[in-house]
Amino acid sequence: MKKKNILSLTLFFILTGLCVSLLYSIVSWKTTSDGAFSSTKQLYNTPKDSIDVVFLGSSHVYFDVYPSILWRDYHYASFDMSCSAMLKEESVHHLKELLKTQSPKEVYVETYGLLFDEQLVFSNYYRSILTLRPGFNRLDLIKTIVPEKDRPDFYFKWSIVHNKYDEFTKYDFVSYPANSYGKGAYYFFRPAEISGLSFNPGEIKPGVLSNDDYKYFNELIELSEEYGFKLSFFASPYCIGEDGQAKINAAAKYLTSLGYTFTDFNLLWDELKLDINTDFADAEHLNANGAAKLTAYFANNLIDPSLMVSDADDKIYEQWDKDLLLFEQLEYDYSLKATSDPLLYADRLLENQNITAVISLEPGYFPQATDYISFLGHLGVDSSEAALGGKWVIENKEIKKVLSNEPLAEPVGISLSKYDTFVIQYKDLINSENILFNNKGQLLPYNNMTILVYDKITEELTDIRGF
Amino acid sequence: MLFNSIDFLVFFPIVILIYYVLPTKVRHIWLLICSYYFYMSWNPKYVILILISTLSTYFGALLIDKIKAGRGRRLVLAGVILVNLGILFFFKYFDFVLNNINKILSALKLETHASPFSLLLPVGISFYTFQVLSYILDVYKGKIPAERNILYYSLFISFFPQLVAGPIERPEKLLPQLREMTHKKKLSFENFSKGLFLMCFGMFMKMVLADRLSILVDNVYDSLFGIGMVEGLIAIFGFTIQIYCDFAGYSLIAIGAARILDVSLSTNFDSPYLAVSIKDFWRRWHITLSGWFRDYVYIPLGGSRCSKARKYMNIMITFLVSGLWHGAGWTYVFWGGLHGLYQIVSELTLSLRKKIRGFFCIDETRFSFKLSQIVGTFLLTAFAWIFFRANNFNQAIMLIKNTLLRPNLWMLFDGSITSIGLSGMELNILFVGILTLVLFDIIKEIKKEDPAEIFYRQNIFFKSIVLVGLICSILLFGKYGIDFDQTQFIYFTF
Repeated sequence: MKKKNILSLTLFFILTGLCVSLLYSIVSWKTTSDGAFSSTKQLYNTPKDSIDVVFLGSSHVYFDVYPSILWRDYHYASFDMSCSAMLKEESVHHLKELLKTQSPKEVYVETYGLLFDEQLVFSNYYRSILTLRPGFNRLDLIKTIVPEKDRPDFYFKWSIVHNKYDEFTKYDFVSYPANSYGKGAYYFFRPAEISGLSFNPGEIKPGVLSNDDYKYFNELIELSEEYGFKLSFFASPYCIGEDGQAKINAAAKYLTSLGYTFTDFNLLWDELKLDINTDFADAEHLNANGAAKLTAYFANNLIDPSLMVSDADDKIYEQWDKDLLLFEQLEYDYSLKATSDPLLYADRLLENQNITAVISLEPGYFPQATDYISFLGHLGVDSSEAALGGKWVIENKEIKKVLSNEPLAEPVGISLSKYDTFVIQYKDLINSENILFNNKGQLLPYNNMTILVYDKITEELTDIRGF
Repeated sequence: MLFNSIDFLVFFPIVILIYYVLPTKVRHIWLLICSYYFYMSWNPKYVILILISTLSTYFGALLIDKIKAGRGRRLVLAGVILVNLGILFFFKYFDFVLNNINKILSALKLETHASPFSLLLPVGISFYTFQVLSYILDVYKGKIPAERNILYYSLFISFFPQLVAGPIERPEKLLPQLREMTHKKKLSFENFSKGLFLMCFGMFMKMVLADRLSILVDNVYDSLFGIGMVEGLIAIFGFTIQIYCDFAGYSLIAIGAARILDVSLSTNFDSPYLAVSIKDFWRRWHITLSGWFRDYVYIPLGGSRCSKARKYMNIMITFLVSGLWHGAGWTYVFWGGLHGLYQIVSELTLSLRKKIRGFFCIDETRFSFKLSQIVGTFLLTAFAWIFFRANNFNQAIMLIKNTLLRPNLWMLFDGSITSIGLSGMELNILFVGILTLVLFDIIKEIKKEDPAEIFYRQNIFFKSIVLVGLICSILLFGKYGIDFDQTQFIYFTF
């Protein structure tokens, strides 16, 4: 073949490879839980040898243990290496993946994976396997847990993800911001009332462990000996059934007999002061209130105090600061959304410098349940100005009027991030397009006042409120 | 092993790589091994059948060659044909015949008989059987000498690109090329480019279009009772395009794969839906099969060199047999018969139609006239495909009835069209894909040239963009993977 042809072929293969890679970057599987969040991606973005404490397991880990609180209150550099319904085999391989770039001193293994041997939800295989980088560890995991007939699809990933085009979201094209600095936790604030435990976990007779369970413990023990980290186990608090508790009790008995710490938090509900009305996201997981309690218990009772980071200002820990900022921002977002009193809402708008809020008061309103003048007065707006109505923007805790309710007024554009914009205009009375977010009308009908709140940390429209 | 599978994606590059690395003298042996491996990946046991066909016709041809004249030649020919058609009949038609006998027995209130065998149709049997028969018949007629080299002959029968679904190659075309393998040298960039283009476009037709359409078609056929005009028309026209994309797509992949190996296979489809008459359609659709039936059934029956009545009978017989070849079922026979009827009626009404055109001063040279012919032919073939696709006559009749009697046109406007099985996005992909296919066929029709030649003559940037575009379309929009129930190529079932 002539040189020219060889060159043409080479360029063709390079071009094809580039296009296919670009396409793959869009269709690739990106999450290890619900939403756009991926603890595996967060691991890959964490600086080498910066993690001291690892929590390994299922959603019971990413819901229940907050590295951000461990960092804020105790300066522990920790990480939730977790994935939805993580199987035993998956946790071993995910730990191996973490150990490629990190040298943790302590690893706490959550034992929910003892209660099932295969995924009930097949997409959890995708969450666990497809987020791992290519390598022998990943290949080994596929061979271990994926049914033989499906393995080629997992080896080549593409055949699983290629038809995701039907459900593309923004985060298929753009990286979810928290994935560049998060530490594995999934922040959830809303409480759900649960029934609690219907039996005393301590009274359940230990069940039987399978050969696979023993093999799993041995693999973890071997890893701890090879890599020199302290291995401990725990069971998260949730509405477990009696059979599950029997298994946990058996695991606890076996592992403590080997000298390992096993903390069954289902025995510690009272000590943790867990409230079934306020501390749970659902029957299986804690919310932020409950996670704060559980995390504090780890810090005060289990984690070696010598692991506290002495130089928290070291650049290597910038991501923990950012993760904490994210947590506090989400906490703020939740409290804002949960505020029903308008005046309290107004006060909240001025508390946070990481939001941009647009307030639209349409003209010709008549007083309703909300006293708009007082609302705007709380924000520092003069009552005569408030009475005319208009459009205001809150940024960096300051409010500024940007537009009057005049039809010919020039629209005002605000660039919120690389991809998000507000456009504020007056088309006509209570026209949904008076406020556009990414060119979609957001003004609420039947409300004289609409408030849009954009969170600059999460890069999301966090609240749309009508008064 | 399907062409649209990871197995083939691994298999084929290995075949090419080793083929071009091996000394030329043994390349045909390598291809023979690969072809048998390819066939055995379907079902290893059925390799015995292809071996029987190969050996019976190989030795039969040698015997026929040796016996220069007389009854002996005819006996050998008859024996070989009997063996091969016997195998075909047994695996393909035994259950069909038994079922029909049982129906008659049941109607006469006599005892019926269950099939003592659970027969799986060996893949490609209809195709390679016709290929061996054309060989033995050509040797018998003296058109070609018997092939002495058993390896070349075995490769002629089992050559993997065309083994399981054609094109049905004639020995005078393929055998010389296989013999040439001992003289051929390096991988040709031109052949590689052309072959790759054909394979990619074939995959595009199969995986992006045919498999997507099958979702719509299957959903409608599975729920015929409740359908209306819109679903009916989608199923009818959908299947018309599906079977074209499926079969022509396969042929393109086969031709492209062979081209990379420096083997030229026959064109099997020539923009059939741009045909201006049913006769023209059969010059463009499954060209190698229609050629086979013409040369080995129609012409031996007398062809058109006889009375008109006899000619029409020959046409009908040929098409009925063709229908039966496609499947062991009366709907297939009916489909074939319908095409026969189309041709006969077309001939019978030729002068009448000319008179009508003359009366209305319809200029036959105009584009509008040609367009009307194309549309008319398309509609006739689409109607016939109803019977081809239906499992039985009741299904076909229900589809036709509901399509004609339930005009639910609002489905096109109120969004409920997405309830048939494809989302709005999928329908858009299908629409753009079909437009691409129409463009491809129109270009072929205008240029009257092999599409690979047209492609190869373009500049490097255009070629790269087209190929990369095809590859990305297949990777992104192709129907495959963990959630997809892989549909075989339709013609594999023959």
